[in-house]
Amino acid sequence: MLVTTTTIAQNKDYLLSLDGIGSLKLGMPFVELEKVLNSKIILKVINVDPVVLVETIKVKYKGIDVEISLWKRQDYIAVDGISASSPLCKTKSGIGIGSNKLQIIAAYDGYHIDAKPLFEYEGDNKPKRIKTKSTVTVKEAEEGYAIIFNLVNNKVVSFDILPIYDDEE
Amino acid sequence: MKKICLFFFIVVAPCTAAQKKDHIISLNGLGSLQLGMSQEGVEKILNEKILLPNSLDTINDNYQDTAKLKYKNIDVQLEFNRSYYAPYKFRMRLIGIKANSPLCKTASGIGVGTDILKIIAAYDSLHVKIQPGYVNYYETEEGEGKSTVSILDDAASTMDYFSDAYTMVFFLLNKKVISFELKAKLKDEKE
Repeated sequence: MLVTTTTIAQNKDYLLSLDGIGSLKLGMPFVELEKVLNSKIILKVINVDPVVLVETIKVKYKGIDVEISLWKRQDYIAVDGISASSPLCKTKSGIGIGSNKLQIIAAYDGYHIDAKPLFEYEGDNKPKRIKTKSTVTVKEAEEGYAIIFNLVNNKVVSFDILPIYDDEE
Repeated sequence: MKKICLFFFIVVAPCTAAQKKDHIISLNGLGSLQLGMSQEGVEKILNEKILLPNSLDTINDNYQDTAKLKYKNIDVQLEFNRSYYAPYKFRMRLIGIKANSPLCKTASGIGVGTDILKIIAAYDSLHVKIQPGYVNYYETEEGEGKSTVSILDDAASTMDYFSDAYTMVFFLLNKKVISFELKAKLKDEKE
């Protein structure tokens, strides 16, 4: 009984959704982030350089490595992006590291989905498709929070959660 | 019996193959109707004059016009765009083809009635966009079971404006194709 409860709690901690991982949420104020991570974070860019408003930090969250993008708004700093590659992180329907493109598409019926190859640019500046790498972006609406699944050889290897607006696409 | 078989292989089979070729959907067009063609080129294929009132109006900047026509016995809606090839000189070029005939299929057999997952599997290496509702330029017709699946070539995917970019759009109802549209973003003829 105790083991089952602990497993569910762990799953909840690593639940991957369009707005975050477990209790790590997009838009969360920096002070809240410190509380969730239970540690004091020293920023090296924001608050040091008055011009730069963004900073990426590497932290541990419930034992997994997570990269968090921060954005300084007018009066507070907030979480603006979360990236991870832990196999412990999964969506409610079980999508995570190792899932493939068709599984993602089938799991997000009715969502906005963008499945595209990655490109590289060489001397002629013409885009060349990278055969092994692709991304699948899932959004609830045309603009808003999204999960970007990064795939290598059609298997998810990492993911990013971030807000996407039309002019960024 | 042998004579009937011979007749089939000599006369009927090639006719069917030619018909199929006429209705093959690709990113570049439908059969011999190829995106980027001039209005005159399309008129030759259809063997009829096409009236595009917007193309005559050079005062209001109406650059686009559509015409509903018959191509090889199927209904098509063709979209043209004004393309300047010299100062103040332009021709109308084909930038869109819309149809819903079950005769039209891609080389791999995708057409009216095909399931969404088959489309995605068929275009595994290309950019595939899935959107709820029927997406038409900046407007979306929402509704239960309606979705749009777009296949973008590399130029369309990377918004490479130095190349012609092509997109194949499938409109689906309850995950099955009911119609399609082929679209091109053509580079300037002056370049």
